Amino acid sequence: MKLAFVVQRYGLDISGGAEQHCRWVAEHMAKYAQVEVLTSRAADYITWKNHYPSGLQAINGLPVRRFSVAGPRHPLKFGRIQERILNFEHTAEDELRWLDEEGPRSKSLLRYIRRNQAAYDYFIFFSYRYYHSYWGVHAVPGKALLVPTAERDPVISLKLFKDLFRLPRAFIYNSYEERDMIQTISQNQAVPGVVVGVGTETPADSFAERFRQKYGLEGDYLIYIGRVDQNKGFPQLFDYYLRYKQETGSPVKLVMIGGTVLPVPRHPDIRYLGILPEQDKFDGLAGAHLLIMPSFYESLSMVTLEAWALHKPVLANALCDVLQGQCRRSNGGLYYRDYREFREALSLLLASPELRLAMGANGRRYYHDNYTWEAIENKYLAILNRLEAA
Amino acid sequence: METENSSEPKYSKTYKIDYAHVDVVQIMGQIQDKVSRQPASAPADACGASPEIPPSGLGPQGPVSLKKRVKDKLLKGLAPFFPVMRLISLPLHEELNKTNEKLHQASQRIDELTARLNQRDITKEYVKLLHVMCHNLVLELTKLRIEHDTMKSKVQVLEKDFEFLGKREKILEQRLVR
Repeated sequence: MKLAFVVQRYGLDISGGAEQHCRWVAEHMAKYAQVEVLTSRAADYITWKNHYPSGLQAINGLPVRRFSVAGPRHPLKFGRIQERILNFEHTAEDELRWLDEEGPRSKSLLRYIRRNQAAYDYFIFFSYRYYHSYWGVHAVPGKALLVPTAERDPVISLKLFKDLFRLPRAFIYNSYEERDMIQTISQNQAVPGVVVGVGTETPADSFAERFRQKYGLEGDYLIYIGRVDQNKGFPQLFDYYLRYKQETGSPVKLVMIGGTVLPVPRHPDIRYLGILPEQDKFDGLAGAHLLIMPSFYESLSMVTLEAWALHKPVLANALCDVLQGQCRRSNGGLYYRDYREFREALSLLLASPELRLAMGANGRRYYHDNYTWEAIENKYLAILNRLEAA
Repeated sequence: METENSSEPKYSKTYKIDYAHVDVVQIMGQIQDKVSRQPASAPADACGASPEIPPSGLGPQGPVSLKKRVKDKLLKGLAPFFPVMRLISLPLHEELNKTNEKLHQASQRIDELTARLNQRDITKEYVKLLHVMCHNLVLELTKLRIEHDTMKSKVQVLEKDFEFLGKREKILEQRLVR
């Protein structure tokens, strides 16, 4: 079987969620099928400027074909068009114009897919909202599998996506909530779909003490791993945490790992460590009482799975239905809608080591059953075999 | 390093939890019950009771606040007037659409002008390049001219040397013949 993974960007230095997701799945599926990656030459998702050389190259043993992007994106122009299509009456042409601006506009990639469709059994497209997925699925609907990586983003309700979601041969969803959202929008229940997500690997050992010594940390702490920005639930988490400390007098610290676009408050108990190596991240997670996930938009949240893999409970934002659903299904975390629930849930988790242990064990079980690479590979193979048999 | 406050174990006893079969939904039910029984101690608490609106406003709804209840009642009371209100707001809506259309046209014009400006910038760059090229050509030609003059002088010197050697040759021949 020959599979083509089609994604907007690809490379070892590309850290975007969907792009990494695609790379990992492609590398794992190479054990079972002949895999090739079709992508653009872009490295930057704001402008899609051609960066990598075009043509065939090998990355981690996989052949990667790169195609030129016709023109860079103009962020201002894109913003204006998006503003119009989201807030005002508009036509189908306007939506297509938005898609053109959204990019990465690579006609050579589409031409290649159309001309070489016979050479591949299936094309697995990542990220529904980009040019390559929309036109790629239109070019080879009978061979297209779509991994939408959709969040509760306003553009998902555009008319062009409603039609797109009825086209592919099958869907590979990240979560049940994502599947429900897409089915509600497009009524595409007839299209086969399976909830898979992405696997994650944790290091063989992680040492909390090493992390504490390296970063001079003492006492109990909560950990947040990810980008510090508005969509990720900041500065709300800062407000809740500082208010919680003021009201309860709790000595618990907040350790944060990841990049930031917002200012971090200066407080002796808030430790912002910036972007750290993977091993340090896992060491930090191993030493934490729990992981906090304040994000409003997640299509899966890999860091939540990593916390569960290390037997750590999670306190998540209930306004993100994916996180709430994951906590309910796994019984591995609590969630909050407002400050008062945040205070109660956090107090309960901090007060009860027994509950933390039980939730950590539940989370670990959930991770093991659903998100180890073996489980993910089996789910991919099952859907491919199902399509072959049909 | 798991340290607990002395009051914390008591705190967790206020919840009924089966640790062997933890049920998150049931625990969250208890938390929500407890929260709803608590009086709003500060104005900030009252705000906290209503769900925070996520940046794009697509999240699920939270518990019903006083503000929402008042809003619902007002909406019910005003419901019979909705058609009239819609009728009244129709010209405004049309006006808004027209304005939006004009804005859209203006945006398109801006895009077009931006593209032309970009084109003009490219042309300007080409002209600059041509200027630099001309300058370099003049420079090279000047160098060649100087080189040419130098060569010419060298040739003249060589001619004179040659002439001198010819004369010397003749004189030497005459002396030998004698």
